[in-house]
Amino acid sequence: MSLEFLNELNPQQRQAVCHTQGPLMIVAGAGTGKTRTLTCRIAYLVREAGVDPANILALTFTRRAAWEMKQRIAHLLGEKESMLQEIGTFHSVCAKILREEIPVLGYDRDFVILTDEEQIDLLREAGAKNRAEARACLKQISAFKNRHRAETGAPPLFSEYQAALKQRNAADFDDLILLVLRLFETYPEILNRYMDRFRHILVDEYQDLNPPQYMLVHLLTGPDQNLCVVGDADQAIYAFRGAQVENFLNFQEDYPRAQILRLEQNYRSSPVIVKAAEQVVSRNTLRMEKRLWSDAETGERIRIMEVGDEKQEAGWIVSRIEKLLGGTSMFHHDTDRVQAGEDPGQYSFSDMAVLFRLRAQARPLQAAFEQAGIPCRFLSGERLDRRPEMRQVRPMLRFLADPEKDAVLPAMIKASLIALSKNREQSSLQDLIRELSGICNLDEATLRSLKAMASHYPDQTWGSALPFFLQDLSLGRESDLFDPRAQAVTLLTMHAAKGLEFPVVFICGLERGLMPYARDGNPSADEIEEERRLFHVGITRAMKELYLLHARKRILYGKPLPGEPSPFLKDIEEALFQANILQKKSRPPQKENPQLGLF
Amino acid sequence: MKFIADLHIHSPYSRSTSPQMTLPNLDQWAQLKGITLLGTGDFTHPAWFAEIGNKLAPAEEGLFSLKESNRKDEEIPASCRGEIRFMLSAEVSCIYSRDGQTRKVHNLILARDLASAAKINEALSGIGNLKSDGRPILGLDSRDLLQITMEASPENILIPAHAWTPHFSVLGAFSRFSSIEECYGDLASAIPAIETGLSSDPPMNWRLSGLDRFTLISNSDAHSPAKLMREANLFDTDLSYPAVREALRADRNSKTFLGTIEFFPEEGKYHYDGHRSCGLRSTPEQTRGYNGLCPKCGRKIVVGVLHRVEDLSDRPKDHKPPAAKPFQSLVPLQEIIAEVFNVGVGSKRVQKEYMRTLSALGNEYTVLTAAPVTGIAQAISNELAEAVRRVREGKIHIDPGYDGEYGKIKIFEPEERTLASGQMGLFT
Ligand SMILES: [Zn+2]
Ligand SMILES: [Zn+2]
Repeated sequence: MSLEFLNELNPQQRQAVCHTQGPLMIVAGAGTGKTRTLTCRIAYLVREAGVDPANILALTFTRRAAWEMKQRIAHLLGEKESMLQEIGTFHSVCAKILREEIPVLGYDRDFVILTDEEQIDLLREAGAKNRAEARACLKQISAFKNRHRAETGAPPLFSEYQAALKQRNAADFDDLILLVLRLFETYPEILNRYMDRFRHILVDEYQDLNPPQYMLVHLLTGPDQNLCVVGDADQAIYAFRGAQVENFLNFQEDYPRAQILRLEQNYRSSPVIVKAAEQVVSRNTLRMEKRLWSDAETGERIRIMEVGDEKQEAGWIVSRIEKLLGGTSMFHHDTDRVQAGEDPGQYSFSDMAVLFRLRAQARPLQAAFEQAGIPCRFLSGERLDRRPEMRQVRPMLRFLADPEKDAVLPAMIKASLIALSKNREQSSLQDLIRELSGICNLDEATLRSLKAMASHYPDQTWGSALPFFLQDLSLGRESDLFDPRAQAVTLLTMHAAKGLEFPVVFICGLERGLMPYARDGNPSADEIEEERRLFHVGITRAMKELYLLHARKRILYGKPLPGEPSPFLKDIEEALFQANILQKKSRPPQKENPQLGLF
Repeated sequence: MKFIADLHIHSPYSRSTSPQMTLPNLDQWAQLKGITLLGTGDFTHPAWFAEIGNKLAPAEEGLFSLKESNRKDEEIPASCRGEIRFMLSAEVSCIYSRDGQTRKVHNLILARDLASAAKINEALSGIGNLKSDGRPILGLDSRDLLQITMEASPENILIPAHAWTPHFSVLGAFSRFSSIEECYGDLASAIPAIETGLSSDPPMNWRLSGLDRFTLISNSDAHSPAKLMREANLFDTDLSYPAVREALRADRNSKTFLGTIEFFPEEGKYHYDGHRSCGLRSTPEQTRGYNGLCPKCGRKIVVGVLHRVEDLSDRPKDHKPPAAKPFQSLVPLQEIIAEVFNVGVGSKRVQKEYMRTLSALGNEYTVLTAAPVTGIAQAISNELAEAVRRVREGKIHIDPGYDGEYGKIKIFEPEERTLASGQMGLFT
């Protein structure tokens, strides 16, 4: 194979790709071609440095990122060889290790990963007085686990909960990593085996590692220190989950031999957008010096839009999207909502995204899109197993996977399931799901979700596919369910938008109290820095057009906000944007103020 | 048997559609018009689909009829009464990008039976929202819609709707596909027909050799009952879904699909180019002279159907392929009456005269095409008889439509009207 792909890299990217020995940190600003660099690096390791693909481990934060890397590597190396590397999220890689090794810790290989709901039931049994208390406990326990050996003592019911988990041969989501840590710390021979196997480790989004993930990476890193981490301190947005941006900033202290390379040329966004993003984040103190730049065409100015309230905000976004598409129905042409001769351009619904700080902001937007009949989807980033429909199905699937196990199911259903088990080696997962829907009346949405997930196992009998399928349901996210053929406007939080890019981005709710979000009272200096990074992430999702919206009036969780623009907006220099004010009610909602009619 | 079919209409669940488009009203109006087979429209909408299930009963294979209890026979003149059949139909607006360009294509779907329609609905509800519009907007490539349609039943049919209109059609100026094959790719061979739309007629379509293999069909795309059959199809085959499907797929020499009833294309909203807001109507030559830009506002001129046909055609204007189907160009009867009275088409007087005409002479199709001119004169008036004669002979004047503005029909010259009343005076 040729190394032609090297020609498509810039000098810094090429340096990162060709650095094959010893620790390496790639400081990669938003849109600087990080994934391309990582995947080319893997291809280079295999093709040029002669590394056995099976010796490579790549850890990502999302299944989507892992999937994208696999796709690109398959493109570079070919389907077959790309299968040999271990590329996955922290959780999926750990689950895989545990399926092999967990017996030494006193669990069976077929341990189950509990859903939220099951965790709550377990805590109730362990002594929580009611569901609310169980939920509160769960939150503390998860926070405790993610900080790993924090100074503070264990939260209430912790040991009871852990004992109950083990007794059930079960683990929760956080345990997946903690159990692997325990395994490696207790059994050095097992650790050595994996260290020997994973001689080249790549870690994406290094700034977002929480302490257990950080420890895992460092345990696994062998004496050669072939560890390559990629990240961007300016995109660290998971402190609330225990992530420590300091890990990132201290990499060189952890690995004094480390080489540090910076990717600063942004290929994603217009220079206007890149500049604005830099101006916002450069107010932070906790960061690593870098200078994002772009040599693309200057691009459209950013539009800052003041609206009356969240309803008007949603309405304006919808009508803007209709305009960008040159009208989505005859109505727009008949009523001159879209000007005749306006070019429908190049966009599709999926080229547009609406970003916001809190999930609660999604509802009025969804309503406005629904009313306009414009396809949209809310990427909540929610874990699949939190969806109510999954709770209904999982016990049955588990029972089918292992009828020996106790299952809390009505006898009638058990009997039907046992009858179903007879064709476990004949029929497919799709067939099984169809049968299940007959047994327990699955609603349309559930059925669709399950079928979408099952479509990954087209040629296997359900008997062999079921354990993997169950794990998918445990580790999957809602976004795994979307039909890839359907183009839709994406609604998502700025957190969920990390790693994505869209030609057109609307960020709404840019008001004091919401951005930076003040959970209770005044955010601390650290929190403000984190919120600023979050805004930076939001801005850098946009490739061509960026709209920033703030409202004069908004009720959040029943309380009115002050209605002032976010202080972050002041950090963007005036030359980069144009501001408009949308007046209320006096005229039809979609008409803009003529004096300010700059659009 | 010979019958008229209008397969593309909309329910009240579609945007800007009259609440009068109920199944009983459709049944009634189809009889007034002379239609035998009518599309239900909008089967993708859950509420309308439920109504179809409740109010219609299975008739011949794949077709339905209005249940007795819903009929309004007493309101229909005896001269027009007939048996109406429905076929499951829907229109989907596909808005997506392909090769870096926005594409907006309307597609007409005909479903084999309720089960096939339900399968399509299930698949599409995973793609987008079917509830907010009877003509749902989906971010789905037309090719994938075709695949979903054919997977639901290989006997389903997808037909590119009003194939030439500038904004929402496969060949229209803004969707920028230059052939059916470019849009539907590997599956294009599953498409038996294209809908020519109001602003084009068969001779315009004959100018593209690439369209020779498609049956050219026409439908009203009605949003209110009175608009039914302004375009329609003539079949001579069994009254059943499989027979209609066979007729659409048949070789051009077969005599099961007889041809179409057409609008005068000039009357269509997008025949010429222009700018409605600037009052600019331009012929394709004029538009080219303006370099495609409106001389008044400087924005792009909306390129109409005639212009687009000229751009894509590979044959001269008067070319007629062998075995091309015949067609009849008509003007809706209510418009003719309105022209006779020189009043608006929606006026009470027109409605009254319309019903009087049908009661005396039979359904609208009969009046427009078959009733002897002398008979019309005797039963109704000399003026109406003369107007119908002129329409049949194509001797009318039309200011062509452009940029969403319907063309203006003139059957009589101003000097033929008496100055005093503005009414017809030529025979009095
Ligand atoms: Zn249409
Ligand atoms: Zn103009």
